[in-house]
Amino acid sequence: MLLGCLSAYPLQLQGAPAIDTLFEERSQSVVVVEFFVKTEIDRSPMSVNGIVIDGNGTIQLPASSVPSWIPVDRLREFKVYRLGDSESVDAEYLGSDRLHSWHYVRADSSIWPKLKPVTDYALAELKTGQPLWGIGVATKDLDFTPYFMRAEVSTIQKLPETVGFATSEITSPGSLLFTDDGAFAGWGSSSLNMERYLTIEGNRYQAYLRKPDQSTTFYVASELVKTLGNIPSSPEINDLTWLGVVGLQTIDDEVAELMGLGDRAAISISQIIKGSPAEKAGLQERDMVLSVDGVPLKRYTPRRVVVSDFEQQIAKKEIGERMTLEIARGDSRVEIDVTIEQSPKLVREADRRYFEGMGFTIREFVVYDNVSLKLDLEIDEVPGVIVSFVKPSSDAQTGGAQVGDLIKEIDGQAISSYDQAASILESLESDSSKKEFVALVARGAETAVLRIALN
Amino acid sequence: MLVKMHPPSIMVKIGKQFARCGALAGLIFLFSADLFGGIFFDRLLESVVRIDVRETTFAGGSTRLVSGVGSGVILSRDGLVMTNAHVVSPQAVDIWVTLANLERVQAELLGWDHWTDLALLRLDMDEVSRRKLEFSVAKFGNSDKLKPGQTVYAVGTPHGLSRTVTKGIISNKDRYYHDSSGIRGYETGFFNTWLQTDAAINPGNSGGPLVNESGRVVGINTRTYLGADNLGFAIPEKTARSVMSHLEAHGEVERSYIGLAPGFLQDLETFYSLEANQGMLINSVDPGSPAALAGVKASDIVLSLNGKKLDGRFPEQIPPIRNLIASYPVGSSLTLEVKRGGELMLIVVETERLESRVGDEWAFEKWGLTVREVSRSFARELQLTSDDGVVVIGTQSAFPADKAGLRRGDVISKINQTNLIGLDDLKEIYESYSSNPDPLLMETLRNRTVSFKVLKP
Repeated sequence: MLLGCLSAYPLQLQGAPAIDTLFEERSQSVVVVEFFVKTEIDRSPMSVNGIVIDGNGTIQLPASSVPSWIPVDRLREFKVYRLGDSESVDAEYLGSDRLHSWHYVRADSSIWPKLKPVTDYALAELKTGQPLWGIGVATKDLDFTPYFMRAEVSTIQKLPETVGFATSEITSPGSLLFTDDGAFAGWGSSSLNMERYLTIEGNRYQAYLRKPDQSTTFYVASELVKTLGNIPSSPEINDLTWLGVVGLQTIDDEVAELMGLGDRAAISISQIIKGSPAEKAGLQERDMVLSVDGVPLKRYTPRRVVVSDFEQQIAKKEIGERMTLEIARGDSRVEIDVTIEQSPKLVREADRRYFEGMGFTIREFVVYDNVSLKLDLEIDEVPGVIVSFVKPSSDAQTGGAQVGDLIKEIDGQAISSYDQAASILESLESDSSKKEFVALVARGAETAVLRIALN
Repeated sequence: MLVKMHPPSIMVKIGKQFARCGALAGLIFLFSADLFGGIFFDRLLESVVRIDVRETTFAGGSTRLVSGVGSGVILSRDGLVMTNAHVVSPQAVDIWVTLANLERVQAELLGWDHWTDLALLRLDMDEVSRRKLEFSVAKFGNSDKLKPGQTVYAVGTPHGLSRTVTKGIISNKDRYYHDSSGIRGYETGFFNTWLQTDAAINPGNSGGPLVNESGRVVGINTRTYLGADNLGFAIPEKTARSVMSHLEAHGEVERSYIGLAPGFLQDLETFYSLEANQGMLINSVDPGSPAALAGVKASDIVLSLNGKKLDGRFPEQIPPIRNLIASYPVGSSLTLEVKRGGELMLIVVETERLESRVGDEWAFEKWGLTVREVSRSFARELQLTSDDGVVVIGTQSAFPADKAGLRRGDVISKINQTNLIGLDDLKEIYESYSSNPDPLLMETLRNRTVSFKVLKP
């Protein structure tokens, strides 16, 4: 196979080191990061591949490596392993990038000399059919040993990130791939679902299978390097921007034509959050966005990418920056100037507290709960606190508490802030004369009165 | 003509697993009796019928027929047959009754009440007299007088096996169970408690009688726990008798609604500093309901209703209270004595007509689309902002609705940018589409997300 490639690309390979040499060196740009997520009663271990992006031990991890709703203080004991090395070093979590939600950690300086940043490599210009090789990462019991993989460029798409697809598995998610002359070609993303039919005892089932350790898709390096290393100043910071629109849908071509929008790309807005920049600027539900800052929305294929692209445009704005939207509203066109604001508190930033005796955690109500609970409240209205955890077989569970419940009243007192709820529960927990308390919770369109024992 | 419609389902509700049934508390007494075999019992056997039904279903984007088998019991000389609402519904196209003497005769549906899972049929009496068909008439007993441990018999058509008699005892006479979408999406079980028996009840027993040793009907067999041993449930005679008279006279049971969902006060009396044995806890108040508008709030305690003390401490005490509210004529003013914290107050609530969450259904055959009217109760359940529109219950593959991307559960809220109020609007649009098939722009809601779809030939 290698010989075949040599004859096909003799010019590029002239003077380039042999693949095995390249492979060994490039493997120093990939690491495995281990950490755990602490919950009220458990620890769930995580292990992800990441890439070295500078000479100071900064590692970039895929967006999916840390679920976005997990509070930063629950991410514990980061460790970095070099491929093929059973020894790890400690690392520090630096936070996530607001555009792509990539995560960053910094490895202890003792291994910096042994790491090689991806910025050291030339960038590949990819063509359809071009041969590529990638670094697969073995499991922990094999010391995360790197292994060689090979495939060709199948297609490259803008989604809106530039994403490459290989003819077969070419790398592990979060690992790297290169051209034969060693140019940086891409960063492995998670694998695609493969549709398969399973026949079990004569019954046919449709199944979607996904390989956790190997992938055919990757972020194309030449575009990726423009966005590397967008590290926040602190892991806890909320520098997300928001517009306050919910339920964005791409208008399909036929609908656009029927609505008199011709062949323009458009996005419809299902909901406007009260008190959001969108509401203040006068955006309305069912408005259709046609262009942003004078530039018409691009007609991506598949069309749903138009929405991702619009969301990225909002994310790229600075807090306080203006955004001009061309809107189709019924038969008229209007232009709306929105001032982008800082996102309200995220779920992961919400205060929370575990009441161990009762066996449940309450979490501060955030604006985004307004949407998921379909409450339509004003932005500063606090209808209660959210139950974010219920310990199995605890008094809270026996009393009927469920994750997602909105506690509206405790012992007849209306809850209007997190601090109030926390202090009521705290005094209940320390009051040995109380045998139980009653909570009114909202759950979907209904409410329920729960009785929770105090021990 | 098909006026009312429902989602599809298997005919035989018996066999459907109970979602919520309390712990088993059946006291079993060894009870011996030798009364079996009396003349009354023979007469009873001659009054039990097999019912074969074909009915319309709208589930799959078109009208289809499904068939099922159940049981029934003849309760009058003039041919009234009681059965379950899940055996015969208003979508029934034809109903064939097989008498004990193996003669078959058609019947018509007189009335239907999914809340108690009862339906009333009348045999085609012209046919009966022309063919000089004979049958026996069963008599009701008294379900209030039943005692746990007492011997009972279930008679019916389990798995199509006509006139099967099984024997057991009353395991519990006050079982509480309700299901908010148990009968093809319709609510059931809110207004009655259930008799529980260990007499074997299987799919097909539905609608057959549960009788005492003298052959009197004390219940209508309705449900069983699938996978459990001998946990069968019947609607008590008391409920059946009263529903039967309403169905015979009006074809339905009209009930009052105020929008309260009771909880069980169980052990909370001291917490709410109540006198023992009084009060009904309000778990939930339907938004926009008469009780909500009058200011009743969740976690209030209702002490009395029009001066009548309420006792809702235990699950089995709730259906009688619901039934009490339901039994007032629609539009009645109910005075609730309410305890809220330390405060006592009187709240007057005017009742509305109780409606099901299931709206009327229709099939638009050329579109391969079946829909259901959005009812107030369904809108509330989905937290929709209004009860306008229709909800998609089925699409047929490769028909226009399917190609447009409509899916089960989508609420069609606008057509060509105009609000769609309900089914009648859509029927009108369908008519004009049939003569002039221009593409239609549909706006749909799904979990509050607005989408646009084009329906075209």
